[in-house]
Amino acid sequence: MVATRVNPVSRLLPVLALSTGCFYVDPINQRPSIEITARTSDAVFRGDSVTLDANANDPEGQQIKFTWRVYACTDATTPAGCDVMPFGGGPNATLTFTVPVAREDQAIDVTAIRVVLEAEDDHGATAKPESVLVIPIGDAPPALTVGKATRSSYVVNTPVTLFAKYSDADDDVNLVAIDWHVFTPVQSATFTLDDTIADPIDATHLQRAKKFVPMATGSWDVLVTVTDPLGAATEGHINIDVAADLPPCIATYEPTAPLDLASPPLPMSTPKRFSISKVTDDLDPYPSDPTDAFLGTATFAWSVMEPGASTFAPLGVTSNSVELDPAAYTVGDQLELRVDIADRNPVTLTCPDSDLTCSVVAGSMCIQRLTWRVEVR
Amino acid sequence: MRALWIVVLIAAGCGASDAGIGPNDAGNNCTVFISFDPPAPTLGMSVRAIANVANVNGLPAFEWTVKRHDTNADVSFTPGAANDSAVIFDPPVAGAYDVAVNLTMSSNACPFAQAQVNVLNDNTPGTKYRLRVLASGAPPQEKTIQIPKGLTSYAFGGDALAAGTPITAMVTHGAARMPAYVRITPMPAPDESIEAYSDGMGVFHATVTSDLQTVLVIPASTTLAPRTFTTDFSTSQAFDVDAGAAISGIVKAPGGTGLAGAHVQLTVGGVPSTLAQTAADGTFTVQAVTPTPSASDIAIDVTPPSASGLPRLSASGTFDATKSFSIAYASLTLRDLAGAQVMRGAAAVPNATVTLVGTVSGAGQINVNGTMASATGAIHVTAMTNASGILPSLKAPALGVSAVIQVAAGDLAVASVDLSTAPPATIQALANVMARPEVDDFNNQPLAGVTVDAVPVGDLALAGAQPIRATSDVNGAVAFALAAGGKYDFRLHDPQTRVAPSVVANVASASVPASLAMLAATIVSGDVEINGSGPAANAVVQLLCFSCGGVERTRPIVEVTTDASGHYHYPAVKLP
Repeated sequence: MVATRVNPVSRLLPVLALSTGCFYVDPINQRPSIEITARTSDAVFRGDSVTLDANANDPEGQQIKFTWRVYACTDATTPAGCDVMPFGGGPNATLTFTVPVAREDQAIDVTAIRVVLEAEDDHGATAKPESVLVIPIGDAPPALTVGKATRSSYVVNTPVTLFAKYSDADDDVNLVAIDWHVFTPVQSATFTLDDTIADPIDATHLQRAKKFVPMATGSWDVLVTVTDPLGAATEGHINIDVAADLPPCIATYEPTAPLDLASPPLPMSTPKRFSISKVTDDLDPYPSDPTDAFLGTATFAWSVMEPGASTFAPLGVTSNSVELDPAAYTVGDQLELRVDIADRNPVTLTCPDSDLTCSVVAGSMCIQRLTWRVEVR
Repeated sequence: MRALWIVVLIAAGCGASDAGIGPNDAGNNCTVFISFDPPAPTLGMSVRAIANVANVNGLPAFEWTVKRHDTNADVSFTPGAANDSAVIFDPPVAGAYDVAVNLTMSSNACPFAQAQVNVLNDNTPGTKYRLRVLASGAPPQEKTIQIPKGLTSYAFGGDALAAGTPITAMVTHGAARMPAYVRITPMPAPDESIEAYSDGMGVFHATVTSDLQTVLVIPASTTLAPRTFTTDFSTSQAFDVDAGAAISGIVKAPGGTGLAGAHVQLTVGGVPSTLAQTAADGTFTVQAVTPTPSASDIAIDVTPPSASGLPRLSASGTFDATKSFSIAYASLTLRDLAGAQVMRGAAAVPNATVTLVGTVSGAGQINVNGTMASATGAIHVTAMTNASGILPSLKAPALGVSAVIQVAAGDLAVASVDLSTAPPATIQALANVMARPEVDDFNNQPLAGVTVDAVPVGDLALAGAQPIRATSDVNGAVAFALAAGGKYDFRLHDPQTRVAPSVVANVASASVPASLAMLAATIVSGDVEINGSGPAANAVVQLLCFSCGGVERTRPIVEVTTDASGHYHYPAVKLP
């Protein structure tokens, strides 16, 4: 913005020169011209940092002194729409300020900024008119990050912890509303979404968590919406592919079991430990991981068909191993030791008692029952 | 087993051994590994961690981290070299430390390197354990490790398993193929047998190490003698069994008459014979591997008919297997408990299973062509009371024995029964002893959620009683209904791994301590890989007693599963 004005003294100089016989004309000091340049054209929100540059041009190349004043406004097109007192300013060619959230009464939200720049050269010539920049100020939507507890699989009827971490640059984060909405994979799918179960607060963020229990398989979508007091909203989606619970599988066991009826039984001449060393399962493996609260442990039910008996009798043992002592039997006795495993969603095994192994999935290598045929020697 | 186990520092790169910065050798891969000075520090020593770098371009910057393995807490350090290629730290406690270094500012990428160093309390030799690994694609393998005492954590380093060789072999009898039980035992690792069963076609499969193996074959046919073979499976793929040698003899009841219906088994040079039953005149014949020479170490086991009341006999000696075996019971007086009533207080106990157990020294004599050996006797006879609690015939030697009475499932009692003069009229099955000990940690604070197994020992174990499991409540209390007169080992395990597994051994049910204390834990960690296949993911890693025998030798102190990178982490191990 450039403005010019004739200096009254300079009008007298030709007259004085003629009257004295000497002709000397002193240079006329010109006003500087200025303009304000913003470093970015991005939308500006309350709480943002704004940097402006003063571009000045003085015809005489003199040093320019700047004076910035920055006002918080509701309507920045007129001074009446702004605070009386500026909230920021400075004397440098570059001005950086943070947009306040509210005007000086702390009640009215700032919706615009009025920046006034004045300039004066070494000889006192000021830029006329002053340069004014109006910056519209928006309401920043809350920032939101969503997620879910990392699992190898998400199993129906099993809780999943969902997280939403959010902040708001220009509003009190505690005034930001959060809404959870679940889109089910099929119309009749049901679920529970309980109250917040974790609320670790840091200085700038809130983190909330929900325990979500999907009661159907399929792709679930949990929509999290955070809305600030001015209505600016941010959405985040948590997609969860929910699978059916897989049956537990006996993965490692000792000793080797004779599973072919044509094979001889396992000879036992000294006390022997029969154990399931490893069970694979999506919910309840064995050994489990105690650091993962989500995981449980497979259960074991041991039974024995004593020599001469025709049915299995429970041993009452629930650990992963059983020890048998041949001294408790007669040499030549044949018995069968059986273990059935289950996870938290037990499925009744329907195989005939005579089957040495059993699986809830016909023909599967994943077995939930194992039988050792033992001969006391 | 060959030299399967190696201890390596976890290192990145290919392990250059020259210290310091290597030549500026563009085109070669940068390698980094960390070494320690001293390599086996004790508490109170400063430890210098050195980055050994080769083939780096430029002058790298070194970013170090030093952490306690047990708590993951940072440990402060000072520069140990002018260019920061080494750091020095003072370990605050004994245990394992994780040290890592990252090189930046080099024009070629150098790998991130990490290593662990164990800082010991002193140089006292540690406690020996057996570290056993069950990994898919490899036969079970174990090695001996020593864990120093008093550490909060111990880094064991890496272990490499032999991949194992899948084999298919056959059991034959001449041209016939035989179903059989097969046990394959690596000669260097007698605890790591592999068991298999040949099918109706005589075929069996197994995965074995490349060691020399002892193969025990027990044919399903009772006419064929078990026998052993020695092979590394490089050529022998068929194991031919035969009838072996017939070994005959007689079992004589007290008084010298033949004892019918007794089971007899011999073990010749460690190889079992067939199982024979004595004829009406007490004679028997077993088939056994032909001993060479004929005089061999032979163990004899005789199980008499239960109704006889006689004890089981066990004896061993060096006998001539070509001669007849004469097995004679000593002159034992037998008592019959028929008519005795089992009571609990004033009430009869119907349908109770009563098992008499005990031992008899000098219960019999073995005579093989003049070579004599004394046999010990084990009493194990069982009967069930009728609806009035009355026992049927139940004979046993006229000695003091124990009666293990199962009143109902899980309801047991042990009673002393003196048969030396006459059978008692009643046997008291005392009510269960209610024990409610408290599980405490090493600071004597109650621990909730601890699994406690009351494992029967002694007479209860001989009678086949099974463990009882309970979990401590919020006050650390566990409740058991224990057999009166019985003894138990209390085995404690914390699923949350706050403390080490513990055992309180041989506790009488009437003397259960008020507190079952658990010890502080040492964290033991390491890595397992299978030679040629990389990390052994999802492998079962067990820590076992080093010097135990019997079934205790097979009980894992702890067992864990490796993660996808083959890393295992025993969260809690008791160090005596």
